Amino acid sequence: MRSPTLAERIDALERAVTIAHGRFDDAKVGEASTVLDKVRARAGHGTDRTVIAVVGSTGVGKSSLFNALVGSTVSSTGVRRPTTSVAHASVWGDGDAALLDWLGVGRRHHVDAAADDPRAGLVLIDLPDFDSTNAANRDEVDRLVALVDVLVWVTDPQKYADEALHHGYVRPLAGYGDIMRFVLNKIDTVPEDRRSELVDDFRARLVDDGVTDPTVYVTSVADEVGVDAISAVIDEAVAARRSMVTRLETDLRSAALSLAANDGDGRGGLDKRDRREFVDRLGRAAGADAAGSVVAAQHRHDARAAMGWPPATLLTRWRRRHPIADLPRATGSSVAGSEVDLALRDVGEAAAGDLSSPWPRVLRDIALGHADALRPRLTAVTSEIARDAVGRPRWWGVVRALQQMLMIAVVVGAVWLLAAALLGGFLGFDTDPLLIDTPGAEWIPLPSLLVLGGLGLGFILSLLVRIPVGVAARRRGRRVRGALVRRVGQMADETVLADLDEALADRRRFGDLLATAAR
Amino acid sequence: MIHLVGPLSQLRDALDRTSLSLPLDGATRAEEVRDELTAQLVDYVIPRVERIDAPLLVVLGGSTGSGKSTITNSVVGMNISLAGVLRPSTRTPVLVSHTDDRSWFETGGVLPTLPRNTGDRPSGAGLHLVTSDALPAGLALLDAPDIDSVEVANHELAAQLLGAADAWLFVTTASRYADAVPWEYLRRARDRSVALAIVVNRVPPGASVEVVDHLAVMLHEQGLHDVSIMPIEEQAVDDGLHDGRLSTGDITEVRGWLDGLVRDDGSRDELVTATISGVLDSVPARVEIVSQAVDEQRQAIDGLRRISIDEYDAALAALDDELGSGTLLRGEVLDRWREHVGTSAVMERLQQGVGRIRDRLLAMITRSAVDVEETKEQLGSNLEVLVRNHADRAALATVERWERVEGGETVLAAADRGIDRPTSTLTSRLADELDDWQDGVFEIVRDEAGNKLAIARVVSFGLNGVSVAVMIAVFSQTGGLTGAEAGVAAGTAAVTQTLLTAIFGDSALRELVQTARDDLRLRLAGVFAVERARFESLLAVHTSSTGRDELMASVMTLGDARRSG
Repeated sequence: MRSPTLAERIDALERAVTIAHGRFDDAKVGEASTVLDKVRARAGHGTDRTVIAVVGSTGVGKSSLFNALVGSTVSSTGVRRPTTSVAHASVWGDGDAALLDWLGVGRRHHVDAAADDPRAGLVLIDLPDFDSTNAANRDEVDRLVALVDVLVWVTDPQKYADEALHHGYVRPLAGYGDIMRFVLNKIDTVPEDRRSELVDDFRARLVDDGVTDPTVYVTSVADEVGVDAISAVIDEAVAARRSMVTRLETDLRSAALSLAANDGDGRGGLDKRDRREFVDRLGRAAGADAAGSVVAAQHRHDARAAMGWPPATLLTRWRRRHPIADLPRATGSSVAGSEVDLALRDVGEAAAGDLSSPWPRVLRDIALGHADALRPRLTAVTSEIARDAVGRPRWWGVVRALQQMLMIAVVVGAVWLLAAALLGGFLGFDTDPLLIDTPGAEWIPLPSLLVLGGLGLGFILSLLVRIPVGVAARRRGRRVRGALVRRVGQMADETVLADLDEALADRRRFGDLLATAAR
Repeated sequence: MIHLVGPLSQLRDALDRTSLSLPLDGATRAEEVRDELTAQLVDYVIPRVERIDAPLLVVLGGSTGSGKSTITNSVVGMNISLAGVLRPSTRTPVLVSHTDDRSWFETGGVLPTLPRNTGDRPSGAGLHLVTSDALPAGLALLDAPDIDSVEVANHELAAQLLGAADAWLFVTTASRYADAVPWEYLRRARDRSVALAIVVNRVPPGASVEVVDHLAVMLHEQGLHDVSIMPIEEQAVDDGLHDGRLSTGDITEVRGWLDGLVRDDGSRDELVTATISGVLDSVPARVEIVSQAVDEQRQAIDGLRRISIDEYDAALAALDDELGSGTLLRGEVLDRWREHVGTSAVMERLQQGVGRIRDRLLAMITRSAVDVEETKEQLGSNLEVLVRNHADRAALATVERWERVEGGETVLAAADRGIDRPTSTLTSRLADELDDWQDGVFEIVRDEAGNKLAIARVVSFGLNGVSVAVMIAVFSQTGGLTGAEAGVAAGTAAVTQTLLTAIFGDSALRELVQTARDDLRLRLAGVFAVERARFESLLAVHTSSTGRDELMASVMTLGDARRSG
């Protein structure tokens, strides 16, 4: 695959930083932002200039080497330690004041160079030491080491194994092997037969620090040995014009890797079961079961009111509350809020899987952030769906009319009988003509049949309709429960689950972006 | 001096028991101070006060490549320590002593923790012992590893060896004398008033005056006065050294300084006393640093503990509120219960004190028995949801607050991933506690009803049913219900109340409910205590078993002993 350009890497890291912002440790994100700012600033100055720094411990002959490279005495040398305490630059060709200002190097020395001079565009900086008692020197070194394109490390047979060099600089900068060169100066202080052993040991220590295939140059500035080789290295770096890009790409890579190191490689995400379980629990918290039974009870209640055996309904009608009125109490269970909280925490935890920090926290906060909005919405949805489900089927009217007709028959029969009783009992009329026989059933008078039959048939009818009503009530209950769970599921999908999925997608994108920046 | 051994050992033991593992400001520094002081007590001070007339130990310390081994070899006149161009050359410390003194060093008088090694060549981490009569009796020379190479183990060993020295011969070079690292050691020598001389090796020919003057100024600025500075010139690569050793002329000054240390008993004793007094004088200030840090650690741990206690207490209080306010009584459970109690003829029967067999049979075969069980179960599961949620909140709140407090992150680093959730055993523990509680309520009801007419009433309603009624009363007593809920839930509670009053009488009932509630509260507190115990065990790892008081007391004892001696 094509390697991303510097601009693409910058863009990738920038977007990764945006994702990390507010989620990752502020200090870590801040470091990456600082690197981005620096990279953009340096890139802005272009590849026409190559900034090379000579850096080393106090007393290793760094300034002498620098002077030898420049070809004149620009850096002071001496036996009093430390000598160099301010960075200064030698600039070949037309000065680029903006670049030097950005580098913050005030002491500048210009070397005339024609446009076709191999060194035209070179900025060579002599840095102070990093291991003397003067702590300000170390700060200056740290500042410039982060900015220059190429680092030439100078040490000597006394100091080549110093902790200050290896643990202080080379090891942390091991990824920058491509833009680092190593010089072992003062080789004249070591007997000739021991030199190769010494160089091998130095190289082994650099490899130990993590530098891949380091090149060690051996010099003795006093005897003018090896300086040409360093000069050649510098000329080559200036001519190639690649150092800056290499440096900046490495900066982006290490910033990306350091952010990625924070991220870990656990896996997170919600599978189907997690989602279903979450929706089920929300449904339970919303009182789906209770709402179902309330609606079923209301249906039975309505059916009884509409089609019940009138004598019975007359008695109970006014005493019984409507079940639907109990809905808020039945569904708005006290523990519903707690159920919602627990379900949210569990779904956040499931989404985090074994992801490393900060993702578990991010996902948890997202999930819990929905708690306050979710609770009232669940209650509202429950009541809306339950109320919508209440209604009377048309066939109830037929039964109701039948019951009414039967009642009319009963009343007619009763009035008839009463009239007969009054006429016969009080006034002594012959009531036989009144109590006409029922056609086809001569053993019972018609009015009696009306009363008894009306009552009996009404009662049987009321029992019979209980069967379809019971079935329908259960079905309604189930339907309400189903509708509620679906609605809650939809609500969960649109809110909590959508936000969790987005954060997880961010996390995947984050990994991809860092991979691009670090490739 | 021997009487100081007791107080010093006591101080050492107290220091051993301190823990400075939280990364508070100054903890790293205090840890260094403590480790160094402990090592110095063990390696040097205690052996020295045990035998004040033991041979003097001069330690050669300094940078890598400064020529410590070459100087040792030159002084002794034979190649006993490996010198070479590869850095760092000395990894195994070499101790040269006069034959007469060998047994003192062999038996581990000083540096008792280092293994001894007497082979032909220095190897391993132990102390390589060599005897040479080129040294005067009563004087031993120790060639220490470097203080500044990449071999970090060398620095630690060097610091330990320098801590055991009666006198330091500090070796540096013309290109090294302004390095930052050696100055840390020189300041340490100053703070302990140890006898000190400095060799500046590898001085370019003719530069010795300038270098020595500059170094003298630097020493003066650091408060080190009257330090002998002995320059040795850079040797030519091929013919400067004789068999790897300096010429007698180059080494005269160093030899002279060493001989001067043991010229007579007076100067020797003076030196020993000065160094040991210097160390002992530095003890209170060093222990103060440690004990202050120990105190800060303790405060930080107390703060963290306070947070966890606060959060779990708050959770328990919130839970208690919810239980008392009748929130558990809403919902389906109570509807059933109301049907069971309110609508049946139970009340009337109770009030008449008549329990007809027919009714009881009816009650047994109808749903009411099932309802009682269901009510009980649902009360249990509702309670579990509430408890889980509060345990969950407390765990999360504790973790979140710890993360924001100094040291909290470190303590949490050792925690399991689920530390911000309830424990996995919460459900089962809670279920057990609730079962026990319900059994307890059952017992109380049976005992209360023991001898009264109540038995009949209880029996007519079912012992189980009465127990559930008591539980409901527990969850409704303080009754802070409001608005629409109050009507129904309070109604339920009121019905239950009437029922129970009819059975037990007013005051007995109140007592009974109180007992049941206290029992529940106690059990829930126990459940939460187990939840919080996870945080407590995280803190235990970082807790010192000794405190500031004990440390300061040790210092006082030492001071008293010194004055009385």
